[in-house]
Amino acid sequence: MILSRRNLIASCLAKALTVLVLLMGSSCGQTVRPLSIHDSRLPLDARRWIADAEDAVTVTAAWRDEAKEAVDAALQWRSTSVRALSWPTTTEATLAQTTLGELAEARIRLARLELALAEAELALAKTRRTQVNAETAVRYDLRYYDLEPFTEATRQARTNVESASRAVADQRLLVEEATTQWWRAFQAYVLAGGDPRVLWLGEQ
Amino acid sequence: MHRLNGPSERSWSRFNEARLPTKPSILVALIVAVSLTACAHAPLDVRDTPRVEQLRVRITKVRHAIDETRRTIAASQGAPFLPELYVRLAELLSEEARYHYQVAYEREGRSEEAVHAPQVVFLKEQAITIYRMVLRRYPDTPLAPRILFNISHEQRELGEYEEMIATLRQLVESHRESPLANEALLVLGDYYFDRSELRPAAEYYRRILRGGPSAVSGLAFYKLGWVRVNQGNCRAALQDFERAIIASKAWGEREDTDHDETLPSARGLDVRREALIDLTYCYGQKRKPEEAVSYLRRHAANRGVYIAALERMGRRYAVMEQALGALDVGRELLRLAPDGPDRLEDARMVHTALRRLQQWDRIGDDTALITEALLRGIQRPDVSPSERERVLQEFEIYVRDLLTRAQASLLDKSTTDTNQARQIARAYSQYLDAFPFNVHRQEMVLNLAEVHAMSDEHLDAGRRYLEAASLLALAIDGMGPNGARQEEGEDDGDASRRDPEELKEERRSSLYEAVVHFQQALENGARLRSVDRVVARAGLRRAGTALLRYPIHTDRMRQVSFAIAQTLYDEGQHRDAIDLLTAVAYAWPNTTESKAAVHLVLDSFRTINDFEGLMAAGHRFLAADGPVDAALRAEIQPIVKAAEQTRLDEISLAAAGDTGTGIEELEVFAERYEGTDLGERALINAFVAARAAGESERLYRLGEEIAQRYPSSEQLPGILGTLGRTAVARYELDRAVDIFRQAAEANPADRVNLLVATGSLLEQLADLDGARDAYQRALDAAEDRAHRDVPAARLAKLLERMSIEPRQLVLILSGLSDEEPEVISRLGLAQLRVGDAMTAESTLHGVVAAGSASSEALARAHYGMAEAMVHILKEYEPTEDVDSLHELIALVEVTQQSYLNAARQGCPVFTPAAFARLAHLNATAADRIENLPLPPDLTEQERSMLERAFATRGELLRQESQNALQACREQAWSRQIFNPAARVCLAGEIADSDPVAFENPSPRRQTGDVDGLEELRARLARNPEDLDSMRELGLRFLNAGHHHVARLVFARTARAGGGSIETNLLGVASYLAGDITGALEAFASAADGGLDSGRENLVRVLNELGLEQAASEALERYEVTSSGGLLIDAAGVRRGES
Repeated sequence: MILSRRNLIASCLAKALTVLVLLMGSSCGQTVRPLSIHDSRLPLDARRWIADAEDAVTVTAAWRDEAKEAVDAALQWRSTSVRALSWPTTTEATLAQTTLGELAEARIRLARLELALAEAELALAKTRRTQVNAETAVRYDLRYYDLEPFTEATRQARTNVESASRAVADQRLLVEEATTQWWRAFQAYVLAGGDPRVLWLGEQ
Repeated sequence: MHRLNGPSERSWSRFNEARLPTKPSILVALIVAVSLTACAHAPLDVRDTPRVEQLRVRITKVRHAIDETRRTIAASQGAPFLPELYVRLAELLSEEARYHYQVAYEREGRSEEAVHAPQVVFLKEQAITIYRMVLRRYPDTPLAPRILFNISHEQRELGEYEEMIATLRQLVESHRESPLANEALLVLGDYYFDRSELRPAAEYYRRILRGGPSAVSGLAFYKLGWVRVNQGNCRAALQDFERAIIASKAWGEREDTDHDETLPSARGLDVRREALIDLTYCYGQKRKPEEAVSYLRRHAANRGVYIAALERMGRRYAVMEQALGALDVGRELLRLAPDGPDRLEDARMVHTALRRLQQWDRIGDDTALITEALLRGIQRPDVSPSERERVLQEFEIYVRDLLTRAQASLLDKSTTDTNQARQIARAYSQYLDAFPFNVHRQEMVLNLAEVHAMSDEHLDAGRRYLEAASLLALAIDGMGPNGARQEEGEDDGDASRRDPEELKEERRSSLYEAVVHFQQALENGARLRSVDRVVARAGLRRAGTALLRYPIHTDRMRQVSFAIAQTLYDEGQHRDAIDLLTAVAYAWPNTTESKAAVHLVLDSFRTINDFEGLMAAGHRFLAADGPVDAALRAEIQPIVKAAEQTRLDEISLAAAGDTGTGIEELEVFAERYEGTDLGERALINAFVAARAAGESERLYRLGEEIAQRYPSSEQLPGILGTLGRTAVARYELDRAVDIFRQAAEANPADRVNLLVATGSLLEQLADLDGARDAYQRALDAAEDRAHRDVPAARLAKLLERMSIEPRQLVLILSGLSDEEPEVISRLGLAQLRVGDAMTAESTLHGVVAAGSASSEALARAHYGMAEAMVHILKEYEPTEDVDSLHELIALVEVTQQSYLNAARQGCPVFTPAAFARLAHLNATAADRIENLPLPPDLTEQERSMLERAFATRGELLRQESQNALQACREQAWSRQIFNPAARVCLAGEIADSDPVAFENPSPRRQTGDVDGLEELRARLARNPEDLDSMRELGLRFLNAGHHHVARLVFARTARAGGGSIETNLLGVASYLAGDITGALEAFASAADGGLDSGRENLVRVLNELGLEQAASEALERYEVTSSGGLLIDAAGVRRGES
């Protein structure tokens, strides 16, 4: 895209304004300067503490990525292994098809809740990292921060994790219930003379 | 083709690049040229070719050289190098002649017929004349051999053969040692060979060889070999050709090779190459064909020579129809020779040979050679598309023919020749690669699959069966191998022309074979590479899924369905595997596959660490309508149980993290498994996690849940104990009392201790009756003496503090213990108080004699014995004899010692009491001694002495009385002991009766808890030594009127390192709780620390108790160094009101 001179100036101004707003926003709260795990002013324990907090962020970020993939996998399963099946038109088949569809929806919902939990855990890890950096700086007289907001932020993040964890646990129960219903329906379908191959012939 | 009548044309090129015509031909050419010139009306303006132009330039240059040489000769007469100049001139003339000939040759259109060049003859004759002149003038010149050889050369080109022979013979005879002599012999031999005079030719060649190794030895052998060939002696010819190769190689490998370059024979002919190529004619006749390739390779100088010889040999064998030799040579040519049209010929030769020999052990390699040669051949740009197509078709037939014959041969054998099968499989692969869209592809693929199966190459067999199935699917849809729809009558061999039902049946069979072979490949998985396993699994899924679309027997359907699901499991796609394996389990219950599927499902869950899923799936399988029989049920039950344990461990571990999250999950788990061991364990783990996280409310709730749901849990006593300790630590004392009582009920083994703890707490809270009941119950619960001692001591101590009638107390204490010093010492005192001094003395003596009593018990015992002695002393009336006086004094001294022994124990209760009573004893003893009646039979002097002695003694006792009183007071100021006994001393009074008394705190008016303390408690949970939080908590209790609890909090604060402020607060709380002794002691301690409010509170309470003198003394003793702190009046509540 080629910008005209006027558009170019407007674009630059917009960018400058955005940066200004971001700077103002960050200055309203406390900005914690991250400490290095190689900082020679810190004792080994403190450096380990910081490293653990850093590790927690890395690990939870990986969990979050896995959770995203799990959502994609659940959606993929629904489209290729649930919706693509060719069921006969018997009552038992219809019931089985319906319960399998419900199971798919329940699994997708669970995957999304697990993603939300993973994101909450990542947020908690990041908040905790900030808190650890601030506390360490204060403890070793490297910098002064008001620690209360960080403690509160961590507490809030932890509450979010607990809430997300509860939602996941609840949904997991629902998934198990749906799974039980599905296999009962499938069993009934087979006992009624239904062809079990239907599950193997999803995709052409 | 080989020549039978002489050396190859190339062998003559050593003489000249362009051979000169013989004399008659020159004449004819001259005549023709003249006639053509005469007939011409006008010269044609012919533009010379670049080659002619180049020759002209050379002629000009050589003429310049000739002129210059002549000038030099003219100027060098008499010089020693003059012969060389003449020879050089002659050579230049010869060179110019050669250029003229070449010009004429070019102008004649490179025709060999007649070349018109008269100046050539002139120049050559001129050169000969110069050569001869040199020989004449300088007969001894070393240039003579060269001159003679050059003359012969010119003579030969002028067609003067007789002269040439004579010149060469002269050279040979007169200059035998010259290298040119052998050259001359070679020319002579060649002359006769060309005239088919083989005998003289051979003789000249032999003369060369007789002269020893030379540059032309190899050539001589080679020429001799050809002589033998023409004589029909192939065996000798082979030997001569081999010698030629050997001699040439030997001469070439010697060190001084440089000068050979000057010899005519060194130029033009590669003897080793020509000999090897030419010997093939005789080799084919005389040697074994199977050794031909190795023979040629051994004698070849390089790859080029080897290839050339092989080509000649191949043609020879083809002509001879010698299949074995042709096959070996053809293979070698196809392997090594450069691309070209000849390779296709070689490939045809190999095909023909193979067919003739029926030799299939290397058919794979041979097919590869043929098809690669084919593909390289048709890719050449000079091959037209039609030719390309033709050749392709031709060779497709050749190769297919070979393969089918080879496979037929394999099938004819009784046992499978695995090596041959693999070769045939390779051949089929080559075929399929070379002819990818041939209409016979599907048949060939099936053949290949079959061969793979025969050689136990199951993976490849599966792949090929699957490919065949795909091709058959195309055929069913009317399409060819390339996916294009076949037109009517396009190719009779096309599978798409066959009956569709037949094709479908064939496809179903192919798919089944594919599944079987993929399965077999996977069963031997250890031998497969990772990538092969992946291919096998994917292939099995594809083939299996396609097979399931056909009508299929139930058993086969089940096996294939399970196999597909198992590939997902093996591949690590556990989620998908779980779904399909579970379907197998439900669709075909009680079959082998179903049982295996159930196990694989559970194992999949375990592999992906989804123990929740494993548990749920396990329970579904184990349900009444589940697909498992009794045997399988017994197998999976332990698996599910182990998973439940593992899951619980996982959740517990997560909950034990520093974040404290996950406890809820444990609670959910516990609820799900309520009433089971697992549920109990989950709840207990949640309890432990809550304790670690400092979540007290949750801790209480979980503790109660455990007690309610699992009252017989082995962990319950420990849990209740933990709860009790938590409640105490949080100063939730009423709750702690309830919990300890509950714990005592739940834990018979530790009931005594728990009840003692309960009693102790109740004592602190001024519930003396409750405490007495708890101690009594503890005593009742104690099964043996070891367990009875502690509650008995505690009860005895409590009873001592309670206002119980002495006789009743004696009765109670007598039943508590007969050995415990704490009890016995108190019993002794009680006996004393009911007036049974003798019994008391005996009881207390037992305490002292036991040797195991505490210092307090000892203090009590000594004090009691002193009191008993006082009782005896009081009733003792001495008579008027000296012994009686001595006895009285001894009694006093024994009593004094007992009091002092009691004081020495350092007990806060009995030390001041002992001093107080000692003061009284001494005072009364002084009175009695001073007023003792003297014996009547004394002399005046004796009477006077006794009176003075008694007075002195009395004075001494009075002094000791004052000292004891002072010592008693000092206990207050130095040790901050302000109990009733000490206070008697502080009042300056002599204790004429037992001053020991106990002040109990007033009963509580506030019970329950105070709101809003959670934050402080949480802080204390994180750091139990947090003095600020403790002080804050105590003040909150104090302000809320919970003085007894506040007293405990401040006591803990003081022990944890609190200063004067906290000690003063302890005094305030104690004062408000009715514990005056405790209050005075705390205030004194605070005052001793320099705290203004501590001293003021102390003075205030002392005055309140009527101890004004002590108050004044306190003001003097304690110097104020800090201000602040709470005053009693400011607390707003008066003593005992709480």
